[in-house]
Amino acid sequence: MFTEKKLNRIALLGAFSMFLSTIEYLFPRPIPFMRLGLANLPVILALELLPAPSYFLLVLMKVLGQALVNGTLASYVFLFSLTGSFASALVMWLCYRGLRPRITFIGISVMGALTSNMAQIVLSITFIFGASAWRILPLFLGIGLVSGVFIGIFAQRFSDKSRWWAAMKKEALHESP
Amino acid sequence: MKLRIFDVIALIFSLGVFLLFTIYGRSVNQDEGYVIIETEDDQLIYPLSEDRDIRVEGPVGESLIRIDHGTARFESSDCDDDLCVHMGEIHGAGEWAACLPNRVFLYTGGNEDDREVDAGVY
Repeated sequence: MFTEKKLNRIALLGAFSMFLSTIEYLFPRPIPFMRLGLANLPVILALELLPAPSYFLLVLMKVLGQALVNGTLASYVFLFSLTGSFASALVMWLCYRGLRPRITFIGISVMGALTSNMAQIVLSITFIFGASAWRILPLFLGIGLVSGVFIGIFAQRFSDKSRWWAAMKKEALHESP
Repeated sequence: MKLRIFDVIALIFSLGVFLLFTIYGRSVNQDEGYVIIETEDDQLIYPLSEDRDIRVEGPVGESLIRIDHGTARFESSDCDDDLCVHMGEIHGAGEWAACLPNRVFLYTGGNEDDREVDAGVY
């Protein structure tokens, strides 16, 4: 299922994701929950490059990398992150497969951010904080919307302009029958 | 780079969900508080918005809890020192009163507006 070339791509994008997690970790957070979601950038771009199994393997890599960088691997935060990431990856994958070319990375990114936040808030209401967690949801959603738009714009521009990325896509296209 | 139709739909949808929960969050905040009464073998919850008397049985006898004008207090209790009655009215989030001899514990929640922050840890 995973040829060596595919695994190389997954590894490269996974490494980018982990690197971006580190970059994000360097920024101070004005609000504890505020995340830019930089690590999602490779995951969004990978929609153009990877078929479904490889794509979700990359998502797993992203979650693991993020958890290692943030030191949350052995905490409940990891499960939240895992669920949120997979839910949003699924929605983004469906948007990409189903709605293109009438959607760009901006819409996909915004939907991904929304799904991730909804999934995590449902988990925190069910298992940890109880119904009062609804109150912080607007904050999550607002931040997610704004950062989702910016990540989406960046992803779209990068995909349109980068020659390296174009070469990557071309190679992947030739390879799969 | 131009927005396509489903980008616009995604943005409007996200914004809609955001506004929906903002409005919902505000309406929740305006809710009256509630009081939770814990006895030895029971946990009861009542809204503070309705006046009522609640009688609970404990090891020493009966405790009478009165909800009145959005506050809750021990009206009387069959204990020796009546400390619980002297604790007076409670109404805000995190306030409590207890009758230890009779094993009755009373605390209020909700009413975000008058919550006093004890500590914030991030």
